[in-house]
Amino acid sequence: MTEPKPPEDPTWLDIVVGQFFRRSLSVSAALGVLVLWGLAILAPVMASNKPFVWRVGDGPLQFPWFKSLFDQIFFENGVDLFFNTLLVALVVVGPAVFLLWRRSASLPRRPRTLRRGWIAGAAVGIWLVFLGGVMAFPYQAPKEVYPLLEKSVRATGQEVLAIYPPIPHSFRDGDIGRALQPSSSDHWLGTDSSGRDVLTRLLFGTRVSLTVGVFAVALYVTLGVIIGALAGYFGGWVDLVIQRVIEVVICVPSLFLVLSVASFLTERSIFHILFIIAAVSWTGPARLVRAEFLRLRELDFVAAARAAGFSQPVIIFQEILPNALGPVLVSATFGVASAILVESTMSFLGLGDATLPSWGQILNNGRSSGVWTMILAPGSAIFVTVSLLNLVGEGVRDALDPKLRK
Amino acid sequence: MTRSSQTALQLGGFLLLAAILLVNTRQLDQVEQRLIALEGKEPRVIEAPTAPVAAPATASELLPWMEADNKGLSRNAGEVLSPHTRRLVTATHVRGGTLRRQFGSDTRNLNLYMNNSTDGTEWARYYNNRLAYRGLENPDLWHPELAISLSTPDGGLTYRIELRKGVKWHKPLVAADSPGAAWFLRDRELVADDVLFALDIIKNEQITARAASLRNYFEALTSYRAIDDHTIELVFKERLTSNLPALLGDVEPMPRWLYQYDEQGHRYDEATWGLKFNEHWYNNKGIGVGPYLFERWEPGTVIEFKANPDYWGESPSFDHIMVYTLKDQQAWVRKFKAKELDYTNLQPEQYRAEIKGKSPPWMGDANVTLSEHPTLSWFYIAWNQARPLFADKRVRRALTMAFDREGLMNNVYNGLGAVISGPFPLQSPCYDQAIKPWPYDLEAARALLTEAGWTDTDSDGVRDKVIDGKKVPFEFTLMIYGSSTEYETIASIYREALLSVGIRMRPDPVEWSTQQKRQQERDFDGYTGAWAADLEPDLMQIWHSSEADSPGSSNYISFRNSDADRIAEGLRRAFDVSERNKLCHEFHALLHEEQPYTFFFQRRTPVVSWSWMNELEYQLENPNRDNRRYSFREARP
Repeated sequence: MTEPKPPEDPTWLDIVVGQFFRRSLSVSAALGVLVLWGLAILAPVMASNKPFVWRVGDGPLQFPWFKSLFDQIFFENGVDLFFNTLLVALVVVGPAVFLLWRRSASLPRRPRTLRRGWIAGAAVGIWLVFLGGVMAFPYQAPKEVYPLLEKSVRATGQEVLAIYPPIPHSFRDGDIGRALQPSSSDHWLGTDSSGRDVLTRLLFGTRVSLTVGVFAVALYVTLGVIIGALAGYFGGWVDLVIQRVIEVVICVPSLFLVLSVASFLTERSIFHILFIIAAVSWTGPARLVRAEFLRLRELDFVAAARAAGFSQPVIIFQEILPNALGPVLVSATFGVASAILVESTMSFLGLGDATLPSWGQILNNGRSSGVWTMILAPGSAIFVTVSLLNLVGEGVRDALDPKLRK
Repeated sequence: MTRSSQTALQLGGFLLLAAILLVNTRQLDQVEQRLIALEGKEPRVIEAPTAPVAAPATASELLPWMEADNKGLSRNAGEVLSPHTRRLVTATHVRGGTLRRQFGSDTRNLNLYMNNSTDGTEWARYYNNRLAYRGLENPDLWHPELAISLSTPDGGLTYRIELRKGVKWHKPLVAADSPGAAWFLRDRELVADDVLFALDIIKNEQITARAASLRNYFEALTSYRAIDDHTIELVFKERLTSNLPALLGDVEPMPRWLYQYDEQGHRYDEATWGLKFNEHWYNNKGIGVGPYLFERWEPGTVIEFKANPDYWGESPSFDHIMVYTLKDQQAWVRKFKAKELDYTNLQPEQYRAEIKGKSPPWMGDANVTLSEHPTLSWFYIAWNQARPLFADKRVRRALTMAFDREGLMNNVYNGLGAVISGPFPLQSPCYDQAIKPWPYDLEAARALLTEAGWTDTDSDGVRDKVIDGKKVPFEFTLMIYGSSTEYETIASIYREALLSVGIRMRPDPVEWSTQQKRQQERDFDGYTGAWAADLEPDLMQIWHSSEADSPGSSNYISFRNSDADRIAEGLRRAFDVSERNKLCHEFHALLHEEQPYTFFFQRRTPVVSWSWMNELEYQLENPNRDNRRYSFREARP
């Protein structure tokens, strides 16, 4: 006879997640964001001018698409390598992670959290090693423009087997003779002024926007949380100095600061843009965390921790910080949306990375050439993404608010 | 913590902020201008207070002062100037009103000798005069403007200039109650010293920018002095073909009583006034003796001129001229269609959208006139030969052969121009029509790169070579003019072509002012640019090796070639037309072989104007338009 398992007390996280799922609008927005991530990760699967399978006559089977996936000359921006390795890692490690995750569900809470932490850590580790390996060993993929090659081979009377992704265009290679074409069955959204397929660029632009959003926010939240925690915990001189620095940073209008910093830099890459956004935005989370720390450091559990002889780093980062993160989480979710907007603005003004297929850049091209599809498509993409993220942000905010519990 | 220490810290914070703002001001300016350009914020248009009056004019009829000039020309032996044959504005027109035009980027300043780009000389046509003007029908002739006589008794070594009397300087824009007002606001007449001061500026080694790039044209000028208030004598040590065009085309009177004085009216130290001149307090305003008075310049927004009631010569056609700074090329057409501009040139994107493949009435309005103007400007990509990547001529030729000039010409520039193979305009007899541009041939480019030692040893897709014991990959940055979308398109096409031959290129779009600064500091791998050519070619400024090390000169790419030096020097001494052409052709062939630039194309500019404008007369000159000739056919509705 076994004792029935006692029901577990819901943790804070369980409550918040449960609350979030009761808000259907936010949940659908979160699904939308997931779809965007899917689009970003699967971009080369959907659009590439390299065929998955290629065979001329009775020749050997070739797989140019797979070869091109880690070509650092073609995918010269770190963003694309990041997503391409993520794609492969998901396919290879994803199912195993999923299975292990499911199996750990039967464990009691403590070992389950530990187990899942290990699984997630190992998965990310494998992916990072993979990414590092890819970046450490550059190689080049075949440079042929396959659709053209196919035509010329067929002209010689040979059989060609070629299976392309649904959109057989590359986001880089343009045909100058086919610039600014209107929408057609070949180019659904037409071509830009260099003759590149706009739909493909839009797809790959998703990667740019999401990367900028997530990484810029991760960067400045980390920075802001550490600085704010120090200011709030120690107070006094430390607080005073940090507060003055924050005041200096926030009294310059942030768009102007971003644009002026950008015009200092030559050869801006997407990483510069991340750092620029982070450099002007860290003050928000810093001030939130500082305020929380000022409140929390007076509470009994901190006094208890001090009495127990915990070191200061342990008290700050293990005891107080987890309790101070709620407001930061909300501001971070909204921050992703605003970071995406800032990046689009910079690219639109020509201050972004000139080589990236970012939405702002497509918008600018559309504006200067007066082609409507090139204005509407990236414009709606920005609108939808930012709206979805803001809806998710609202959901998180409400879910964290005990007064709004449903 | 004490209260005073808190205050001190707060003060420190604000000081830090002030420092940041100070450093950023320049950049912020640029950003603000960008935003203004996009928003299309525009200043108030000042309409003429009086209604335009019809001014009857017939083409053949000369003005009294022209007749007088013509009579006087026979006085001196060895006269260089030719009699006037027509007025500037010959069409029947109405005088008055406001001419509204546009310029695509901000001007650098309005000091003629401190502004290197052609727009500086263009503004000076409004507010200043030269010694003589080029013939409108025959550009080889010079007619009297400020000089009523220019004679050379010994055939080209000594020149005597007689200046027109009664020409009044504009009043500088200084407040009447400012300490310097008593000095600056005096009535002043044009005297010989004002011309000598221009020569002082060109000869002063401390002065940079345009003065520095003109300096080599005046190397042969050994002495210049005023004989009396209206007579000047110049002595050249050698007869050079460049002497006369430089004297007549590049010398304009400059007021010593302004540019050698500080704002309070105190004279600068004789030894260092040149340094002060570079940053002179009046550089953002213009002053001269010309038909229009400089009124104001709001950076990023407008330059305004108004008619000079005391002008000595042919009355100006307009009461006001507004030159709007419109960086957004879309705005040119938008504002033109809204009749907020009287005429505008069209960029390729706009030409494609508005004109290409369509038929009149243009833009759906029968009152719009379209004309196409040839230009003397030619476009190129420059390679910095001081950098090891571009030191080999085979590499430079490969870079040219990977550049699909014909395709870009036809698709990006809509066929409005022609691909060139050398450094002269196609209309010029100097251009050797037998030399065809290098073909667009990626295979040949690959072969040339391999031959020059650039191979992909680590098979990462980018060619590399061991230079000074270090393996260098062939990667470079191409500086492009950021405000124009054509350049971005060109760069993105060129980038892919270069990649396919194993070269990695990054485009770097920059502001015009930044580009000029980096060119002068030689801080670039390559850049896209254009030269506005002169009718009489002179090769010293851009190509002579002596210019390679001189700061502020125009040999930005550090091109050094002894044959080029020999031809450039020879051309200055060759007065015979066939000998000149022979030298030019030799030079053309040499540059075609060396490819210090990737020569791109020469452009035709489409211009649209409203029916109330008289036909826009076109003259082959640098800068290409003498806008004083424009006039209103009828009052603007």
